[in-house]
Amino acid sequence: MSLASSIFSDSQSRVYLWLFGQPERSYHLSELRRLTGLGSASLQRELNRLVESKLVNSERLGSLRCFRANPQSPVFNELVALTSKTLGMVPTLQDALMPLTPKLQSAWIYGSVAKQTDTAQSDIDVMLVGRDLLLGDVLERLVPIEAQLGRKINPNFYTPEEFYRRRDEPDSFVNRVLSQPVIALIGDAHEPARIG
Amino acid sequence: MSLPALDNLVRIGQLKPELRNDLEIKRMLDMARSRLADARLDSLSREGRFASAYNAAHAAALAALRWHGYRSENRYTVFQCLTHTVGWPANRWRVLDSAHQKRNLAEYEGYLEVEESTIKELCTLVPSLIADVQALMEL
Repeated sequence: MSLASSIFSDSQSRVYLWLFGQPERSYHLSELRRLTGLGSASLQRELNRLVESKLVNSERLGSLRCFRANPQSPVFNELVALTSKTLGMVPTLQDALMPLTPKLQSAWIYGSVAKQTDTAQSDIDVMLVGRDLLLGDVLERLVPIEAQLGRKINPNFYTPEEFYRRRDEPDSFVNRVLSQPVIALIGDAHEPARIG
Repeated sequence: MSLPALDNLVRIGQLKPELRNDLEIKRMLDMARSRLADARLDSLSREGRFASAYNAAHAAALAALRWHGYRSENRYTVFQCLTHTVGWPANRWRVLDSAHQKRNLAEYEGYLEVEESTIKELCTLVPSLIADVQALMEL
């Protein structure tokens, strides 16, 4: 059982991912229905609970009802943090990649997401090091979560030998990545082969 | 043979309809085979083998698109359409798309860092793509 599923029900996790995952964003009802994939009744039930407890604000924009996380609620920061730690990009990527270990020795996010300069359209750049794995195996795990994260994932895969060879070249792409912020997913970005 | 999903791409300007031309498709498949053979030549540089494997993949993918009566100058679209043209799952054509991004980095930023494992994976994917397109022609 994942961390998320021990805390949230399935429908809660789908709703929280959007409302508290992007807390500055306001959603139309139909938009939330599309994003969460929930039926009208269960979405309505979750939203009613959140609105009644004032965790979420509901406002009317013309004929549309819009929903947005309430930053004035006493647990706003905690819910945003809890959502990001359990349902956000990092745990979702970790859950997807975990079955590839121990062949997959190390994986980390780099690029605009790691530097926190990403926009909603930015790809998620992931570098991976492993043995007896194909990029196709990695993509088989990552492609299904792209819809959930709403982003394209762009994996860059190396065998340990290839990774260390590139790391020994001063101006290599690997070194450029390692000299900038990264977010560890599996193992250690700087010593992949020591792990697992 | 027209496909509804591809007709939608025509409507938004990502694909062009163009009548199938069997000679052209055969030429493209021949090119895919000879570039694949180049990709397996140990005497060539790693960069040369990568470029050959990538070009073989593109020629075969474009042949599949042409068989269905479409064309695109956009290489991402050509690979993306493999889902519809030969029924490839995303994790297979995305390997080709990833090679496409590597090639762009090489051409536009001078970054040509190709790994042996990438060439090896392309050289196992391309023959099955060529076989799938060949199977279309024999329908």
